[in-house]
Amino acid sequence: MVERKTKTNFSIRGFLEKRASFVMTAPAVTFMTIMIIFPIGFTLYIMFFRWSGGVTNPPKFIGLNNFLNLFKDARFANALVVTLYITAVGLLLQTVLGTAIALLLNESFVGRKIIRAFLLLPMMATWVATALVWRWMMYPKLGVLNFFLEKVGLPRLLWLSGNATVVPSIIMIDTWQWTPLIIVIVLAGLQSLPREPYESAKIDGAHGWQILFRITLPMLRPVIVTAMVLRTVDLIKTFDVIMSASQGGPRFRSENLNIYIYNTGLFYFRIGYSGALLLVYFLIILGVTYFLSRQRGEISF
Amino acid sequence: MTLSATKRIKALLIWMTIIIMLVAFLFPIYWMVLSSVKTQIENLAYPPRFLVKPTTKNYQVIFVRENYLRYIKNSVIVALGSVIFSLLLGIPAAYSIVHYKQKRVALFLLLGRILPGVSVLIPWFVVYARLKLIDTYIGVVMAHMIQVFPLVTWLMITYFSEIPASLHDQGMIDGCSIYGILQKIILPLSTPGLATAAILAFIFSWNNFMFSLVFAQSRTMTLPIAAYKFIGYGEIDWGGITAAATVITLPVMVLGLVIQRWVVQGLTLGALKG
Repeated sequence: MVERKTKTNFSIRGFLEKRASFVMTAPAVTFMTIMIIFPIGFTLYIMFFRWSGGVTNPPKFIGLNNFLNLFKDARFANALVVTLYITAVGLLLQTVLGTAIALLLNESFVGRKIIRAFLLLPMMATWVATALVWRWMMYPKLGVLNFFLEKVGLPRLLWLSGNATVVPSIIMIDTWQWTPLIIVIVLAGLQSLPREPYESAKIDGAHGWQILFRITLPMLRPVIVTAMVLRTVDLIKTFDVIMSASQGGPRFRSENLNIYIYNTGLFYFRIGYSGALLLVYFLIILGVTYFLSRQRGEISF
Repeated sequence: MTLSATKRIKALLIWMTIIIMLVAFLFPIYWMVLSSVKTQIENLAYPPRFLVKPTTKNYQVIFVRENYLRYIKNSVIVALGSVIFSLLLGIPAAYSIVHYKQKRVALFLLLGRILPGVSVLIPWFVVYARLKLIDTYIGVVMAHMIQVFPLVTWLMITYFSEIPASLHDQGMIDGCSIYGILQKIILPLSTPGLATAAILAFIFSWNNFMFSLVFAQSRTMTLPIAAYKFIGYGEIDWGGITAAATVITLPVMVLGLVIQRWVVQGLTLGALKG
């Protein structure tokens, strides 16, 4: 390959050799710049306009009006609350459950590899497909979950069709899907912990709970926080599950920011307003990620 | 050495919790497969039945009436396309990033993972509509690559950084350029890494919903969208939906089990190291 280039043009070869770091990354950087920087620029521009996306109706400059409208938009406020609800409760549930199960699994020495393999299934499976299956299981009239509730003497639920139960149902599906990720990450963390602190604790006569809260959990903190950062970013962006399980309903009760922005831009074609929403949304994601990432280093338990 | 009573109780408790947990996590998958081999009458029976004589009727509906082979073909074309183009762009970039320690380039490429898909979707929808790229394979592939490409690149970065630098230096001494070294020394060594990255990227593209929902509406419709659209047809055919769900998820679950270790790495995307 190099030989051929030498024959055709000497300076091209020199350029390729001297600027290899540029030549090799340029296609990748160009692609990502086009695919990502353009949308960011477009969003930062269009958020000052009113535009329905039509060719015949050019964007109309309206200054900061899109941002002022945010404050009057009840559906935006609702979406903010739903996003916060799903993220906070989902994160808490998944972290506590995931860490607890990982600690338990770490105690058992038989079949850990097989169990780990099974745990990967919920997150590998196509999210739309599993969300549709959950929708079937949660079907109020004939669903298997209401059957289980009846069996143990609990009242039937409306699940995804109930105003109060729709978000908890969405969280339940997401928890089923993503708790395994936390389990796997924490399990890997547990296996890389140093042995010495445990040996000295044994000598000092510390018992199980003390070891857990004084040694294991503090040492695991960076790993748990990393898992939490990952989950937070994805929980804020929850889309597939809501879209296929409840479509944001009933009456917007499960419409989070992601779904609302999607609808604003691609269903109502309020492109300019969706730009303003996107900016707020992106700032929230950045802020939360930054805040959580900073928690990683500090030690306090 | 005999186990003390408390230790035995503890072991029993742990095992019971693990079994309950496994049942909870695997039940929806069991229910998906079971509902897909039930007749409509059995699916609408209450109380639900947990074991049935399996029927292939739902799969006949999926493959004959709904023509799922077409969606499978579309999904395969889109996934293969985005994997191949991602590898072509990603392999040289990843090697250069590792060799020249271009950390900032690496972080830039990771942007695709942090940015919410919807923020890319709306502007590109406007452009795609003008360029008539909606519902074309190239348009769908490019959209999928926004997520697949950073994944491939980061996996290859991890993989390349585990290859000792002495091999590179040896190639230099033998008079190879960096391109020659990558082509003749590094790539042959990286076949397993390339394969896992490709499989994982394939799964991500296969599972993609948001981009396909907007860009792959009819001619290029992929499997997840076909399953999603299934639910709108009046009275819900749960057998058909669960059969569709099984057809979509079974291949990725099998592939996922083959490359287990990398699945977690792919889903966490280098966050564990950073």
